[in-house]
Amino acid sequence: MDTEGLLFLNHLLQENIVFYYFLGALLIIIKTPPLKKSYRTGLIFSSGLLATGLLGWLLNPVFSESFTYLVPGFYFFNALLGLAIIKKLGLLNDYWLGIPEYILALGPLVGLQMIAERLGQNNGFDLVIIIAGVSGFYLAFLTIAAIKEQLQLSEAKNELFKSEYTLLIVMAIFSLLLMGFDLM
Amino acid sequence: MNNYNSELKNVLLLGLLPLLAASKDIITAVIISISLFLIVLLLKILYSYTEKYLSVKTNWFLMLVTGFSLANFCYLILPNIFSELTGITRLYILLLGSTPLIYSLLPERNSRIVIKKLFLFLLLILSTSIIRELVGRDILTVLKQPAGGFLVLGLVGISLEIILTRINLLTAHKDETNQKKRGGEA
Repeated sequence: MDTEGLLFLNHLLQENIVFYYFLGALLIIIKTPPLKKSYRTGLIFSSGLLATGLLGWLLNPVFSESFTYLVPGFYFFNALLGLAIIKKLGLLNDYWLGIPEYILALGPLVGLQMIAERLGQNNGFDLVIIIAGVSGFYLAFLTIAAIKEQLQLSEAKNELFKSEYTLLIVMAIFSLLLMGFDLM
Repeated sequence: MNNYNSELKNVLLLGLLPLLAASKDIITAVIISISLFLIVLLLKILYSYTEKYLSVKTNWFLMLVTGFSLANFCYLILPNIFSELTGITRLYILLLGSTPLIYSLLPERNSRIVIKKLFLFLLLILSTSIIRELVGRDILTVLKQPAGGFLVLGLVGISLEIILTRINLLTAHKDETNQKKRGGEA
């Protein structure tokens, strides 16, 4: 397989943005609906991530050469585009624990761009990492939605076994499983 | 009765990204926690002034921009001082600007609750990082990997939840006994 194919698989599996870089872990834990609905919800979040990533890929050369110190700020404003898309499609419009829900999506939107810049081949903003990151996010979203549904349906009497703590332990096992794909 | 339990879960979820990413070693955990506390302090001062004059939406946007700017400042300065914060760990300093825990503390008027939540965050991050560093050094090196972050944080969360439930039950029992005593005296 060529290098780009391996890079894609590596960032989809072993260096998955959720299970390796922890980006979007909170969003996934909080916002996953039942599995049947999560196909659409996951697609909406992924489309926001993809739009942000593509804009970052297009504009990054301009900013990284001329205004190096402003690059993080550029990523932040870029992330607002992804947020606008997600909100337009009907998600993250409410409040959660006293804060606007869209704050939950800022981490993955900014973080994915930074990873694409930092780990891109020849120190360039890598489109392959963006696409792999978005696909990896969707994969994680569906997996956690399925596991969360199973946890809620389980017959465990203690509520602790159905809580987010147990979900974190399940995510640890999943992360261990993905570490086994040594591709690069 | 102090409801520490739900607050513990809230703090764990709101601060999930720094709790998972910065708990790799103790020094990183301490540096990230101090940066987070400073950002909270500065934003809270700003929020107390701006909430009177700006609309809710504008105020949240201003807080986000300021939070990110402060995190960016830490992102540029801290790696020059602490050599531990290089590589991918540096990325998480910038992402402090998107940590929901910071923003959830801004509208809170009771400073005791803010301090309690920050203390719970410190307790979680320190216990996770101490376990990951000490056990992950020689015995279970996998704890230094991302999977170790999920695993140790989950286990620490469960343990603290059980301990705090016991404390809550004890406090409730004491309150009940005191009330009965007072009732008897009257």
